[in-house]
Amino acid sequence: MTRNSQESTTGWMMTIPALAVVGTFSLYPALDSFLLSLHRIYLGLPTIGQPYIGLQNYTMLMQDPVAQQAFLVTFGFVLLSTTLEVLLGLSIALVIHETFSGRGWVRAAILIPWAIPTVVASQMWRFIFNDQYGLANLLLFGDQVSNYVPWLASPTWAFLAIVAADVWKTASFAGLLILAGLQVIPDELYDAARLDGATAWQRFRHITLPLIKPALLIALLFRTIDAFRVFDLVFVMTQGGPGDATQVIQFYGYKTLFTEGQMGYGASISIAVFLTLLLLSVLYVRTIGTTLFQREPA
Amino acid sequence: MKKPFLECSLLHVGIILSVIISLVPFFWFIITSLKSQTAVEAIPPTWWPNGNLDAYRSALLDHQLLNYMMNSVIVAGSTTIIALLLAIPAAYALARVRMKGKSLILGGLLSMSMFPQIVIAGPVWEILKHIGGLNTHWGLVLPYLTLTLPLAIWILATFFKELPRELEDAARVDGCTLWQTMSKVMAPLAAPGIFTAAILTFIYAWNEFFFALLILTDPEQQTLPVGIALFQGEFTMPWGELAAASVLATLPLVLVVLLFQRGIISGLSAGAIKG
Amino acid sequence: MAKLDLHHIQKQFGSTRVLQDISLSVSDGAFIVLLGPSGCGKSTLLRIIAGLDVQTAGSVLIDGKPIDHVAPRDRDMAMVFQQYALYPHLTVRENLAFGLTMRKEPATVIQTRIKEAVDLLEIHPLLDRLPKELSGGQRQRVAMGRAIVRKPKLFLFDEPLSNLDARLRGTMRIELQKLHKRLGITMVYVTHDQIEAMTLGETIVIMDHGNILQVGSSEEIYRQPNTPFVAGFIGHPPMNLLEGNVTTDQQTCYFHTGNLRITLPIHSCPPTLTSAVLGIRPEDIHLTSSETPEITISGTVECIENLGADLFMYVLAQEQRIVLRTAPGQHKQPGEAITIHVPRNRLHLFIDGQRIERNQTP
Repeated sequence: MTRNSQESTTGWMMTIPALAVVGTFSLYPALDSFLLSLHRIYLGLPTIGQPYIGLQNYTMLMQDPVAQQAFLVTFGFVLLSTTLEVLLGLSIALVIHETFSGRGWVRAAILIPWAIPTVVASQMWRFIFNDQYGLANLLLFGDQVSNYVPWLASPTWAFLAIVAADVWKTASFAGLLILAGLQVIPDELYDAARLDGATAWQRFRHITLPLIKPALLIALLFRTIDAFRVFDLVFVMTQGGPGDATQVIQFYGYKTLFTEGQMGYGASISIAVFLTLLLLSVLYVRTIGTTLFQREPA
Repeated sequence: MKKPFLECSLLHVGIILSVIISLVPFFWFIITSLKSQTAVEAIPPTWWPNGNLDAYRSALLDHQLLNYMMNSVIVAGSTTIIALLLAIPAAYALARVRMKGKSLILGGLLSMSMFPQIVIAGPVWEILKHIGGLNTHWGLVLPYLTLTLPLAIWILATFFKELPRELEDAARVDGCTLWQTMSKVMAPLAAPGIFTAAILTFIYAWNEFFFALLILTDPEQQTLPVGIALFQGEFTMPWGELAAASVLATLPLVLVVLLFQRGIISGLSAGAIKG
Repeated sequence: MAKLDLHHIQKQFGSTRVLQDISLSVSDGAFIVLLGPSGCGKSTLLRIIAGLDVQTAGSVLIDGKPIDHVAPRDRDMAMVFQQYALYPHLTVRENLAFGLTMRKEPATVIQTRIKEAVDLLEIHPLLDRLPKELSGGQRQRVAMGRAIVRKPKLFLFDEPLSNLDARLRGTMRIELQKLHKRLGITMVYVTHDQIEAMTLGETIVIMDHGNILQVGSSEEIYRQPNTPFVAGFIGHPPMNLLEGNVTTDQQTCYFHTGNLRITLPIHSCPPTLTSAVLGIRPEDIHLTSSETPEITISGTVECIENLGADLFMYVLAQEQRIVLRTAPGQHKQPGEAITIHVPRNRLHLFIDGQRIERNQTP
């Protein structure tokens, strides 16, 4: 008995330093954010103190058109980019799952966008969409300089440019997650299907797709959570502009907190982001859970 | 068996397209970085660089690129080392030691890795202000630890779980304490996992921007991503220098990826699928 | 050198009881084998002795002192594992030295101990190799060597030969016996293989469902099995176990099942009809009559298995299948009528799962 508890004491001693760091800089701040969101705090106006105002910040948030716009932009961004990323990731996974000579190099090449700092990737794409020196204009219009489009100055194009940069940067990551799902499908299944006379498309449709569904959902979950937190791309490429066309919620929250110093209201925005993410994760995990469960009897 | 022609050519088109799309933006920056100032600002842009290294010289000398790199090495390096020192024992205990509530902790860690940065940003900034961590490297390392530990612990725990239990029993009968069992037997066997966790932690810390921007306002202390995001010239945007700086900032990572793609791929899928 | 005592050991995993109430005494220098089918709790018992698992109740004593609160590393026992558990990142030499290094033995001691073990096991050429470069038999030797260098109070073996092929297993059995004689260290050996148990163990402990059924020498266990389970578990082909009833007609005691009726050589019989199991070893059945008091059963030959040195004959007698073991050269054909003879003193009778001796009142 005592030896069991001795062992678990040592176990806790091994775990606690890590937990303490995570607790102090993740768990506590998250809880503190919630408390802050119930107060009115202006960093620039220390004289007003930090009065408790209940849920006023949240009612303010509900009526804040800029916040609504930011949520809308974020949802649009998440929807478009994750869909494209998972589709593209699936193709990437199918390609690098095949055996061919030089596969190691191809895999490394595909991993490079994932490894590049997002800030660097953002600058690359900002330059590609540059109105005068950009590759996009050069490829589309060559030397017909008069046709050159100032992409990042147009609300729609700027939004799509950010989506493009995000898809480029992270499709390979989605691809890796899906690849892991592909790798656990036994080759015998494909051999059996071949003998049964299934075409390549039928094999993909009836074997590959159902069996990688969990991996697809996991890729979707990871990408959604990450896309929801988009910040670097917007900061570098558009600063939220033109107008508020690309102002995503984390960027708006950042501005409210640290540019305007509204620590209370900013906290309520961040809690709203957190709750939305939580809701999305729960929904996804439930779907993943049920699909995994459904697969079990087979 | 030979693949049918259509399937085969589809595969090749897929490979070539993936590689081109992955590399073109990077190549465009390399080309730009090798142009002279006037060539960069030519309209329409030129396809070929004129092999001018001015941009690199200027990035290194006028834009303190070396300083940014140094800061990044310090921050990412110490984050990686400390994170691993904390994560290895924690992952081992969570994977192997009989403890109550460890699945709860593993689940909690996973959900914490999903927190949006913004939700902890305000209070973290307040804490650091309080303890004098703003504009210091260790002040940045602290939040980086909290952001990288969950994934590192998950990857390592997956590795530890797969090691044969008999080895652990043998070590204990041979006279090892729990700590010795971990450090002398289990950790060396989990070396591939530790290596993967180290690479992923390093890449994360090297690339992180949000907290770096928040915590480091003094240009002397700033890391590469902040330096590159806030890159400015006197009058116009110095694209050539920016491209040169970006290429230099990315090269270490490209090397890491080329050398270790296998470990990275397996580590990422371990963190996701088995988690 | 140590005497090992187990006092009322119980072990529960959740709601399943793996060990009911195990008490056992192992004298200093003994070689004891825990034998039983998989899932009988023998490995759990061994792990409890080693301290790797903690019992739910009861106590483990070494030389009369309880060691329940002593960590495995301080118990001074060495264990040889089923998969050998060689540290894959260490060479053979480092593997051998590991336990001694952990105990901070001086380098000279480690050197001599390794030399002794290496000489004993003849593994000198392997010293600088890694475990993955060894064959199964070599790994087995190194695992043994790692235990030997420790000079522990107690040697524990957890099915150490089960991953070797049949021939190698035979050699290792002989080596193990020699090793025990040479070192004189108390050994506890777990196996599910009755041949290993019969050849190695001075004392065999038969376990089933978390209970000890019988403790004894291989001779005792073979000649006088305590329960029908032990009777059926030891011996090949297994003992014939006929289920039926015992009854009496004032003078004689009968066992009958179906139309088969056998006079029993016991002195007193249960007064009423009692269900019982009658056991007959295949090698105790003869095809010819002898001088000793015997029973005869008639039946037909069902089939014959010729193994070269032995011949197994399956006989159907009154709807009961009886197997007998005899020397080859019997020219019987399946379907042929046959009479078999069993000396009365070779019958085993079990009532309520317990053995009944001839002069014993059930």
